[in-house]
Amino acid sequence: MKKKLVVAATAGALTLAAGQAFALENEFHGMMAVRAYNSNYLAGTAGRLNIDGDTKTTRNWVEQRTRLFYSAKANDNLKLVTGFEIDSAWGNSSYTTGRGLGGALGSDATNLETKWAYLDFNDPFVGANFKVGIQGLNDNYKSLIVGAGADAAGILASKSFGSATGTFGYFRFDDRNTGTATAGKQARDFMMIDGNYAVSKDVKVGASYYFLNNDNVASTGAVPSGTFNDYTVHFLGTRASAKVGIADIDGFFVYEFGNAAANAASRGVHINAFAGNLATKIKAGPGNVKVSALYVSGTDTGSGSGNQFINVDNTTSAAFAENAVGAMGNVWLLVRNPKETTNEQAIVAESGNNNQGIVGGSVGYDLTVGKVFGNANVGMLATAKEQTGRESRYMGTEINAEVGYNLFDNMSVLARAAYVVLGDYYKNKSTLAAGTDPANPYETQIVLSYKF
Amino acid sequence: MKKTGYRLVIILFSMLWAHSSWGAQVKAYVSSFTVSGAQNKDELKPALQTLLTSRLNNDMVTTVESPEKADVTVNGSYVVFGKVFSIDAAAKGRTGEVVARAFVQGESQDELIPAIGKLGKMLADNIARNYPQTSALSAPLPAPKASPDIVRKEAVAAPTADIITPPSVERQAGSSLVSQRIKGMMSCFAAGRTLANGEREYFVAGGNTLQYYRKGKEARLVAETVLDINDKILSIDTADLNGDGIPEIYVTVMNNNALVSQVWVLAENGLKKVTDRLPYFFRAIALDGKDKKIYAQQMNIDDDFYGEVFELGKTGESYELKSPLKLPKQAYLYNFNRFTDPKGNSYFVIFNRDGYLLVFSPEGEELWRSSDKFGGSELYYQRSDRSPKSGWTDSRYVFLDPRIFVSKKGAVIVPQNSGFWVVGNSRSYSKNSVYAFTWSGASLEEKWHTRQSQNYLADYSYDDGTNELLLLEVVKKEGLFDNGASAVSSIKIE
Repeated sequence: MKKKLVVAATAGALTLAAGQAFALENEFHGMMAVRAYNSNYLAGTAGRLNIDGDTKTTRNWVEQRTRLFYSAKANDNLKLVTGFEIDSAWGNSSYTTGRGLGGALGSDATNLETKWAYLDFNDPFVGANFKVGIQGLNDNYKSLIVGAGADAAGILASKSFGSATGTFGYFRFDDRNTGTATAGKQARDFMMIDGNYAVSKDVKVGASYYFLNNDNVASTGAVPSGTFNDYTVHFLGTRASAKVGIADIDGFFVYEFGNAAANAASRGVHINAFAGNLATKIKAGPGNVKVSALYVSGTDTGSGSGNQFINVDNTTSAAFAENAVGAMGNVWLLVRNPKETTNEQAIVAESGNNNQGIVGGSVGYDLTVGKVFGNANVGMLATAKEQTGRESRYMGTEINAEVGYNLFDNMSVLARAAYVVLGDYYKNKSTLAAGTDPANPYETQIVLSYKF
Repeated sequence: MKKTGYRLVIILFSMLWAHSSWGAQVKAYVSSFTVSGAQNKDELKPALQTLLTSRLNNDMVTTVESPEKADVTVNGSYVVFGKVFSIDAAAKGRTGEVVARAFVQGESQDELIPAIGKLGKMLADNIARNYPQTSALSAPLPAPKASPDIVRKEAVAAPTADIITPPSVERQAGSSLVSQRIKGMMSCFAAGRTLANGEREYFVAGGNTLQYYRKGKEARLVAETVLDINDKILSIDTADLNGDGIPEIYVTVMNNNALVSQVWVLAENGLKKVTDRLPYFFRAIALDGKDKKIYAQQMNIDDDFYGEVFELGKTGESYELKSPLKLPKQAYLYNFNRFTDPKGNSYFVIFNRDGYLLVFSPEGEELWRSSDKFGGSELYYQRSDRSPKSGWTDSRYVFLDPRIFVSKKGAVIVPQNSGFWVVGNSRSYSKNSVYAFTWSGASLEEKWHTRQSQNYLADYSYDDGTNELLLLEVVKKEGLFDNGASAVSSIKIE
C-alpha cells in the first residue's frame, strides 16, 4: 500500500513538474569576446594606471569573457532572469577556484560567476513592472554615477503614463553585518526616483533624484580617496535628447549635495559637486562625426574642498569602479571605456578622477561600409582643479582608431590601437630616475566577439 | 424446419466467411504519429511510423504502404512527461470503428524501441482477435486525392458515439509548385500585377538590392537597383495609392539608425525612385481580407516603434499619416491583422513576442492563444543604445515579424519557421510551413497547412483572387565567402 502511494505521489509530482516545465518559455542570450592586448602600461586588471611609477615594460596577454543569460518565462507577466559570466586570462592557473582563472594548461577551474538573478514581473493591479533581485544597474547619466556593467541587489519598479515613464529603485550596495544581529546597521543604500517624458517624436527629457547613504564604516570604495566612510549624498539630475535634422544631440547636468565624513563622529565636508555633458552625432558623408564634452567638478586633493564628484565604487576594491566615463566619447586609455571587459585600466578609472574632476572631450568619425566598420577619435583630458605638486592640469591627449569586419551577423573581428601623449600633469612626478618623465602609454587590441 | 434451415444457412455462411477472413491476413496501415512533449517532433513522427510499421506483424496481421489498401488504419501517439513516456495506438476499421487499442509506457528514451516492439505485438494480437467481429461488414472508403503540397484537415466525422474524435488521418488536397532560384540570401517579397499576357510581376529584396521580376513560364529579372551601401531593406510592399492602376513599391529602408524609406514605381526601363528619406516603416495589410492599404509607423530617438499605426495617404506628391488604428497593447506594425466572423464581429490576431498567435476582441481582451509557435523571422535591424551600459550591449537587435494574411472568407494565414538553432538573437531557421486557420467562435481551428519545406521562409504573399501562396525561401544560407541563394515558388490551394 505504501509502495503504491509512493508511486502515485511520484507520478503526480512528475506530471506536475512536466506540466510546469511545458509552461515555461526558455530564452537564452550571451556573448563571447577574446581580446589580445599589447601595451606598455595595461596589465589586464582594473583601476588607475600607475603612470607616475610604472616600469613601462611592454607586455602582451589574451583574455576572454563569456556571458550567458537565461530567462525562464512563465507567462507574459512573469520571468526569472539569470546571468552568468566566465572570465579567463590565457595562461592563468588551472585546477583551481577563482575569478578570471582557468586559462592555463589543464583549465578546469571553478570560475562561473553569477551576475544576475532576479524576478521580472508585471503587477496587474497597478500596471507596473518590477524587477526584484540582483540585476544590472545603470543610471541615466551615461554611467557617470553608477553603471557600465554594475550589478546590484534591489528593487526596480517602473510604470508608463502615456508618453511619460516613472521609475523607482532601491538597492542595497553593501551590508557589513549581513547575517548578524546587527544586519542593516552598517550598510550602503541607494535610492533612485526617475522620470522620462517624450515631448515629441524627436525630443525626450528626463529628471531624477538619487540618494546614496553610507553607514558602512569599513567601506573604502565609495569615494576613491578612501577618506569618507560615512556620508549622505543627494543627486539631482536632468537630461534631454533631441534629433534636429541630421544631428542627434543629448546632454545632462547632475548636481550633488550632502555630507561626507571619515566616520560618524567626525564633521567631514559638505559635498557641493556637479557634472555636465553635451554630445552630438552628426551625419557627415558616409559616416558620422561624434563630438563629446564632459565637465566633472573636482577638488585639489592636497587641500580638499567638498567639490569632488561622488560616484559609486566597489567596497571590495576601489579599483573596481562601478561607473564609467562613457560621456567622454570613444576613448580607451584616458578614461575607463564602458566597452572594456576584464581589462578596465585607464588613466582615469572612475568618473570623479580621484576627486580631481574632469575637463575633457573627444571628436571622432564613425564609418560603416557594408561589412567593414571603423572609427578614429581624438580625446583630451585635464583635471578640473589645479593639483598641489602638479605642474599642470593637462593629463594628456589620446589618438585612437579601430577597424573591424563583420564575419557573420553576430560575429566580428576588429583591430584597435590607442596612443596617449601625456600632459604636463605628469612632468617631474615620475618615481623613475631623476629627470625621466613617464613614457607615453599605448595599447593595441585584436578582438573577436560573438553575441546572440 | 424452415427456421432451422435458415439458421443452418446463416451458420454455414458465417463459418465460411469467418474462415475466409482468418485465412487472409488483416492489412494494416500505420499513419504518422502525433508527438507531444518531446523534442524533434518532426523527425520523430515518421520515425515512429516506420518503427511500428516494421513491428506490426504476426501470422494474422501484415502492414501495407498506403491507407487505400488497408483493412485497418493505426493511429498512434507518443507523449512524454519529464522522462516518462507513453506510446499509445488505436486500430480503426474502414468506417472508423475501433478494432483494437494498446499502449506501452517507459521511463527513459533507451526503452523506446523495445516499447514499440511490445506495442506492435500487442496491437497485432488484438487486431487478429477482434478484426473479424468488428469490421467484417465495413465498406471501403474512396481513396483521397494524391497531391503533395497542401495537407488539409478532414471534416469532423459524423457522430457515432457520445465522444466524437476528429479523424487524425491527414488528407492531401492539391497544389502546384514551381521554384525559381535567385542569387543571394533575399529577405523581402511583394507581388505585383498579373499582366495581359499572363505574366506575373513580383519584387524581391535583400540587403540593399531591389529586384523586379516577371514570370511567365520562366521568371525573368527585368530590373535591379542597388541602394546606398549602408541601406538595409527591411520590407517591400506594393499598393496603388495614386490610383493609376500600377502599384507603387513601398520600400522600408534603415540606414545608420535612421529610417530613410523610399517609394519606387515601374518605369519604361524598370524601376524609378519617386520619393525617398521617408521616416516610416511600411507594411501592406488587407484588414478583414478587404482592400490592401499601406500602413506606417514611426521610430523615435529611443523607441523602435513609436506611436500609433497609421494608414499612409497620398496627396499630390506628398505622403501623410492618417486614420490611426486602435490596436491591442502588444501589437505594432509588423505583427497584426484583423478578421471578421460571420456575425460581423472583428478580431485582431497578432504574434506575441514569443511567437504565439493571439486573438483579441475589439475591446482588447485576449480571447485565445495558440499552443504552438508561429511566425519566426531572421530579419532584423540593429540600433545603438544611446547610453553605453556595459562591454557588449551597446546595440540591440530588433526582429520584424512575418506577415499575417486574412482572406476574404476570414481565413487567417500565418507562416511557421522552425529550426535547430534559434537562440536569442542568433536565428537560423531551417524549415517552414504555412498554416490557415478559421475562427470557430472560441478558437482558431486549423484548415490546412503546407507540406513542411526544408528551407527558411523569408517572406511570402497570399493571393486571395487565385487562392495561391507565393513563397520566398532561402535555399542556401549566407556564408563567409558566399552570398547564399533564394527561391520563389507558388503553391495553389485547391
